[in-house]
Amino acid sequence: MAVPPPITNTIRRLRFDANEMTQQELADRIGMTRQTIAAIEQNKYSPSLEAAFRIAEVFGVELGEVFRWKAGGRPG
Amino acid sequence: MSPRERTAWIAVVCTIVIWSHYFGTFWLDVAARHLNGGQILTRFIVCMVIMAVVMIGLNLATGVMTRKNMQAPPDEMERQIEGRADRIGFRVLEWLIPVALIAGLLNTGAIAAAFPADPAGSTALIFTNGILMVIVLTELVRELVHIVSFRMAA
Repeated sequence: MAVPPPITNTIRRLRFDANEMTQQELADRIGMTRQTIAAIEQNKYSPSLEAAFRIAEVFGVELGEVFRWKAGGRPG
Repeated sequence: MSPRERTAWIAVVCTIVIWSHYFGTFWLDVAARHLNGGQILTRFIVCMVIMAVVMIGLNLATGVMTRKNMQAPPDEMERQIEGRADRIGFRVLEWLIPVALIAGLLNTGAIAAAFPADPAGSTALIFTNGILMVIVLTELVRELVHIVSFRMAA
């Protein structure tokens, strides 16, 4: 968690578009804590592939619409 | 603050307060050349009971106050933090146990000379409490790693 992963996400915007879904609601729907959702949203924690797919599933979008790889990102 | 971070804070505060008192008193007894096995055992049991009661009580109280389910399984970030804390704790234990044992072995003569009434018993008490202190320090480090990791992710 020391070096931010070279990944961006649109969870904040997706939550806004989903009728201002709260972090707690999203957390409850994918079986995580609100703190973990906040860490993912702020790019302080990279979720597992399974969690990433679950988040995309909640918003009904493709994985690539939630998480994007930053071009030129180096392995942390 | 997540329930697990709160538990870590409670553990750190309880450990510092209760075990500082126990080990502070023990090493003061050693410095005063006065070791009483029965008294030390009683003090140890009292500290253990207080630690258990305070930790369970505080965890239950904060759980009820915040209405968070304390039995919920850890999610993946919490498991990752737990794993990091265990790894660091294991490293600390790996280093401190030999250090404590070597320090004790190098000083067995001095310990025996300082406690002529019961050199073997006093040596055993000092060794046992040295190892116990290492275990408590390791647990303190583990909980501090939890707190630092949770704060970094907050």
